[in-house]
Parts: sequence; structure tokens; C-alpha cells
Amino acid sequence: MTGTNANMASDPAIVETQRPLLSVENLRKHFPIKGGLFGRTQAVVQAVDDVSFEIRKGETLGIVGESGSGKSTTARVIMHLFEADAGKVVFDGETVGRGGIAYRELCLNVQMVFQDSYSALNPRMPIGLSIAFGSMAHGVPRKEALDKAAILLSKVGLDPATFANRYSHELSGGQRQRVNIARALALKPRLILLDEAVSALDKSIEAQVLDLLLDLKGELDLTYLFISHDLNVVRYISDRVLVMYLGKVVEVGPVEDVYENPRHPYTRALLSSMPSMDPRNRTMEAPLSGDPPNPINPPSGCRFRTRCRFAETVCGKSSPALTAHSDMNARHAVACHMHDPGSGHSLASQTEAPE
Amino acid sequence: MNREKILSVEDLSVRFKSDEGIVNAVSDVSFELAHGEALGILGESGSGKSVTLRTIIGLLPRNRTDIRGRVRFDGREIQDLSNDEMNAIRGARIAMVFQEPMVAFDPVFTVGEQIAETIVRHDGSSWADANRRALDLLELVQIPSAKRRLASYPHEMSGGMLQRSMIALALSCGPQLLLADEPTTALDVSVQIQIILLLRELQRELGMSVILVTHDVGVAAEISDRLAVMYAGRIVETGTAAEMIEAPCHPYTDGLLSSTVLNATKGKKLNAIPGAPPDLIALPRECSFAPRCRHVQQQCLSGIPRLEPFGKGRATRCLRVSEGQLELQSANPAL
Ligand SMILES: Nc1ncnc2c1ncn2[C@@H]1O[C@H](COP(=O)(O)OP(=O)(O)OP(=O)(O)O)[C@@H](O)[C@H]1O
Ligand SMILES: Nc1ncnc2c1ncn2[C@@H]1O[C@H](COP(=O)(O)OP(=O)(O)OP(=O)(O)O)[C@@H](O)[C@H]1O
Ligand code: SF4
Ligand SMILES: [Mg+2]
Ligand SMILES: [Mg+2]
Repeated sequence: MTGTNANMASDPAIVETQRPLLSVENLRKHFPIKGGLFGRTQAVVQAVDDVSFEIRKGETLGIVGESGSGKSTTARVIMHLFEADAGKVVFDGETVGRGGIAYRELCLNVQMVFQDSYSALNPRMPIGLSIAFGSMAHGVPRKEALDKAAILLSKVGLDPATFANRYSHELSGGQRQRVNIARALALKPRLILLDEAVSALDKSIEAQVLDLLLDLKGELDLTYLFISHDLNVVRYISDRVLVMYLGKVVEVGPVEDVYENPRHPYTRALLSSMPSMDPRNRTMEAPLSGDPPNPINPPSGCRFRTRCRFAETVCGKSSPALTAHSDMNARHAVACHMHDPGSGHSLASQTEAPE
Repeated sequence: MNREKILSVEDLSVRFKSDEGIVNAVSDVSFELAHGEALGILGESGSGKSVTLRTIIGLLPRNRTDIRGRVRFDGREIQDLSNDEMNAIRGARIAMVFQEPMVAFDPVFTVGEQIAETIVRHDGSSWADANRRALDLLELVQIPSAKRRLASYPHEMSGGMLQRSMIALALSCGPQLLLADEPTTALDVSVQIQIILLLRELQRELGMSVILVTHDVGVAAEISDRLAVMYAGRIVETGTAAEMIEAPCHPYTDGLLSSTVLNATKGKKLNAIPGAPPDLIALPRECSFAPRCRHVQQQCLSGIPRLEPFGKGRATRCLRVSEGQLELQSANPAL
């Protein structure tokens, strides 16, 4: 019965491990759509809007959400493949970009693996060289880089004697994805962003790659950001999960809290849209109707309100903030007026309101 | 009264000549489908699911393709029909929906025009009747503001709406058999479940028989009465959906179901099936799952196992299970 949370936080070792490896603050990325005679901006896709989250060292943060909700854009902005319109990215305590650490340094620490295992590899380069290439570009001698590539190939379960000299088109999808993972590991990153990294794989191969990711994480002390539209896979692999809807974070929290006690109406609908695996107990009603609305001109206020059963006037007026309410786990937060006692939503419980 | 099956497929084999050699896409596939029944064909990429469907509806290119076996639809031998006879059946009595609705529609005509055109072509109805039917169909597949949507072009519709329109197109001539090839794979989960429920409802209301092809056990479980699992071009197990998912009787199905992430312990590795499916150009003369099977024994390598009955209404292509040497323990962890 010694440590309260306050005591623990004053222990320097714990403060160290609690510092997030990555934090993203108020990130915004809008894409102008140009058209017309003079290429003027006609509309704006609000792909990522005021997104904030943290990833702690050694944890896996999952991101789920439907197509177009801004998952990939978030990852790409972190990697600086797109420039953010606003917000900042802090890596291991240091701001990236202006006045902070350089993007080049971030790239040594953060790597990304994409869904499309085919296009990520150079078709005219043997895969051993593909893996070594990044290190060579950072000044590692060719021989050393190739030797290291061979070690990485065996780490991802491919015999270097058989595979190092093959070309990507000679590999299966699962093998290519292993090569992509080996390539991401070559620069000894601390954080890997996996964007639908297993989505194109068959189930039996997906299970192998998930096993591999789990092994590598323990062995190399990695931290993962795991993006997927497969809710089952995210539940299995993640410690915490972030739910996105039309460019906004609607809910975030420890995976078991969110899956077993989802708060946001969208998260609830999403989870109960998953097919039942039991033919004797089938889904009888679709939780949502229609498709997600267009991220061009998203609805005012809460972006989910056009599909939400609980929407009221307040939902169209103001955008609900992502908040941990007092009846929730402190690390579980939701952006919904129905859960905010002061919002004026008729279903919001008034009990915890200050007055 | 009508005891005859709507469809029976007997010893179907499909081989393609390619530059690398002969691709054994489908081998010795046999199954039957009752009137009003929904069969799910489950299998990984390249296992022969789409080729099986395309053979039934006569959509395979005839050159460089060698098709053996018999497909009997509503009392007629499909393989013996002329092109004209097949064209009359396709679309009208057997219809197909695909993963990508864009392939079913021509981008330069409205959705309403295309549905009406199909009705006029097959039924010889008047355009006025066909237009009325097109509207009924869009309402049947629950497209909001159906009347306005008749005049939409395919690119003006969202993914879910286009998928509904393709189903309307497929239903336009009242087919007895609907073939659905991964109809929900490209959709988000919240839209996928809507399409699943729609297909289930239509099947029941219209009394249609359905074959659904998917690689997703959950999707198959929501729709199918019976399941057939394909591996490397062969059916390795069939049975009722409920029984199979509860207790599979082939090591491949068992491996797939017991390595799913559902209910797997967090942080613990999945019990993944090692290796990859065999090369269809060089299929071994043994159980094609043998190289990946954790129960393999010498006898499994002595020849290709046959699909043998296993209890009531079930069958397995595993020698050891058929002979009672192997009891698969792992029930589906998801239940
Ligand atoms: N380069 C770009 N130019 C214009 N719009 C873009 C661009 N990249 C993404 N978008 C738009 O931004 C929105 C968010 O896209 P994003 O790719 O981040 O979604 P996602 O959640 O990754 O979806 P998916 O599950 O389909 O991969 C979408 O509406 C998309 O069309
Ligand atoms: N016209 C063709 N010529 C040569 N090979 C073909 C042809 N059509 C299909 N194949 C091969 O036959 C095999 C079975 O293909 P099929 O399309 O039936 O697989 P599937 O089970 O539908 O897979 P997926 O889940 O990827 O759609 C594959 O190896 C495929 O490459
Ligand atoms: S804020 Fe309102 S519209 Fe949005 S999810 Fe909550 S109740 Fe529904
Ligand atoms: Mg994406
Ligand atoms: Mg297919």
C-alpha cells in the first residue's frame, strides 16, 4: 500500500517511462480541391482536423475508422510526407521541424510500412539490396549494409540464401510484406507506423505476420502505431485504440475499455456492425444506415450527428471536445455531448456537473 | 414437390494454359445447391472460388481453358449449351454480383437506364414497364430517394449505394440463382452489414438460391446455410455453417479458425498455420495441405484424399479424420 499515483510520478525512472515517445498536438491537414478555369480552390477536404494523441514507449496504439476518416493522412503528416497546416509533432520530448529536431533525424527513428506491399519495393532491385539501400544512403558501407540485410531477412523468417537475390515479383504477398518490415527495421527505428500493413494478406498469412510483429516488438523494443479497418486485429494487437470519424478523434482509450464499454455512439455502432461469427445468433439489424458523409463540407458541430440516433440541437451547434468524464477510466476519453454533463444534451447525466 | 436441386456441380476441374505451365485452378469440385439455399464458399486468395462461380455462369474465356466435369442448372447441362442458350440464361436465370460494382455498370449511362435496358433485352418488356420495374428494384434494395437515383450516373453514387444498385441490376430479371463474389469486401463494416442483411432478406423474400464467395468467415456465417471451404482448387470440407464453425472437420479449417485474432490472448502469439498454399502449376499428388499440416503422417502423402462423407450432411478431404484417427479438438474460440 505504498505508492499512490502521485508518489509514483515523482519517481524519476517512472517519469522517464511515462514520457510519450510521440505526441501529436492539434494536427490539421486540409486538402484544397482545385478546379475551374483558373485552378481556384473550390472546396476543402478536411482530412485531419485538430487531432491530438500520444504514444508511450513500448505501447501499441491502434487507429480505427472507416475509409476516408483520416487514418493514413495522420500517419503521413507525422512522417512529413505531407506538411501539416497546423499543429505539432513531438518525438521523444523534442519538437520536430522549426527550431526542433530535423525531419531527417525523425526519419531515422520512425519508419512506415504500407498496405500495398508491391509498390513499396523497387522491382529492379534484388530484395537484399532493397533492404540495405536505406542504410547505404545514410553512409553505411555496402558490404556491411548487405550483411545486415541478410540478418534482417532471417529475422523476418526468410532464408537469406534463398531470398536475398530474388526480386519482389518473385515473392508472395506475405513474403513481400515481410521484406517491407525488414526494410523498415534496417535503420533501427524506435517507432513503426503500420498503415493497413496486414490488410491485403490472407488470414493464414496475416496470422504469421502478426506473430512476427509481436516477436520483433519484444526483441527490438519497438513502439507501434497500428492503423487498420479490421477491428478484431486492432483489438488483438493494440494496448490503446483511437477511433476516428471524418477527420476527428471521437474516442480514445485502453483497448478493453473501448471495446467492452464504448461510449461514443459511433464506436458502439462500428463495433456492433462486425459480423457475428455465430450462424445461430446472427446480426438482425444494421446499427447505421447509409454511407459516411463526404469529408468535403462535413456536418457542423459533431460530425457524426447526421447518422446519430441521439443527435439533438446542441450537436449541430458545437463540436464536442475529447474529454475523460468522471465516470470513465482516466485514460478513456470521448467526444460526445451526450456524455458531457454541462452540454445541455437531454441524455447527459447531470450528476457529475459541478453545479 | 420439387426435390431436384437447382444446381449440381460434378467433378468440375478447370485448367488454364499459361506461359509457365498448366494452372490447376479448380480440381474435382462437386456440390449441390437446393432451391432457396444459401451456400458460402470460403477460401483464401487463389483457392479457385471465382473460377468456380465463373464456370457456373459461363463467363470463362474458352481458349486456353480446359473445363471438365458437369454443371447442371435447373435440369439443363450448362456445358452442353450453345453460346446463345447460355446468354439467355445468364442475367435472366443466373445472375452475378461482384466485389467492384463499377465493372457491372457503364459509366456513360444512368443506373436507371442500365437496369431498364437489361429488362427490355431479357423480357422484351416495353420501356415504360421496364422503367417502372427499375424504380421498384431500387426501392427493393432500399436506396433512399429511389426515384431521383434512377437518373444518377454510377460515379455519382457512394460505394454502398452502387453496391445496392448492382444487386438491383442482378435481380432485374428475377433470377433463380444469385452468385455473389465478395460482394462486401470493398465496403466499410458499417455498410457491409447493411448489404449482408439486404442479401439475406432478398434471398428469403424472393426464394432465391445464393452462392456467396468470401474469404471472411464472419460474412459467410451471417448469410450461409451451408459452407464449402476451398484450398488450392479443391473443396476440403463442407457442412452446415453452424456445425463447421463450431467444430471443423478438416485441419485447414481448424487451423484457420483457431488462429484468428478473436479471443486470442493479448500479447500471446497466434497459432498461425505455417507456410503458404502450393503452386497450382505443380500440385503434388498428395494432400495439398500436407506441407502445412500439423497432423501430417506418411499416409497423407500416398495420394490425393477424396472428399468423404463425415457424419450427417458433412464431408472432409482428410484421410486421418475420415478414418477416425484424428479428432480435431479446437472448437472455434469465437463462440
Ligand atoms: N493527397 C490528397 N489530396 C486530396 N485529398 C486527399 C489526399 N489524401 C487523402 N485525401 C482525402 O482525405 C480524406 C482522408 O483520407 P485518408 O487516406 O487519410 O483516409 P483513411 O482513413 O486512411 O481511409 P482508408 O481506410 O480508405 O485508407 C479522404 O477524403 C481522402 O479522399
Ligand atoms: N484466365 C486465367 N488464366 C490463368 N490463370 C487464371 C485465370 N483465371 C484465374 N487463374 C488462376 O486460377 C487460380 C484461382 O483463381 P480464382 O480467381 O478462382 O481465385 P479466388 O479464390 O477467387 O481468389 P481471390 O480471393 O484472390 O479472388 C489463381 O491462381 C488464378 O491466378
Ligand atoms: S455529440 Fe450528439 S450527434 Fe454527436 S455522437 Fe454525441 S449525441 Fe450523437
Ligand atoms: Mg488509409
Ligand atoms: Mg476471387
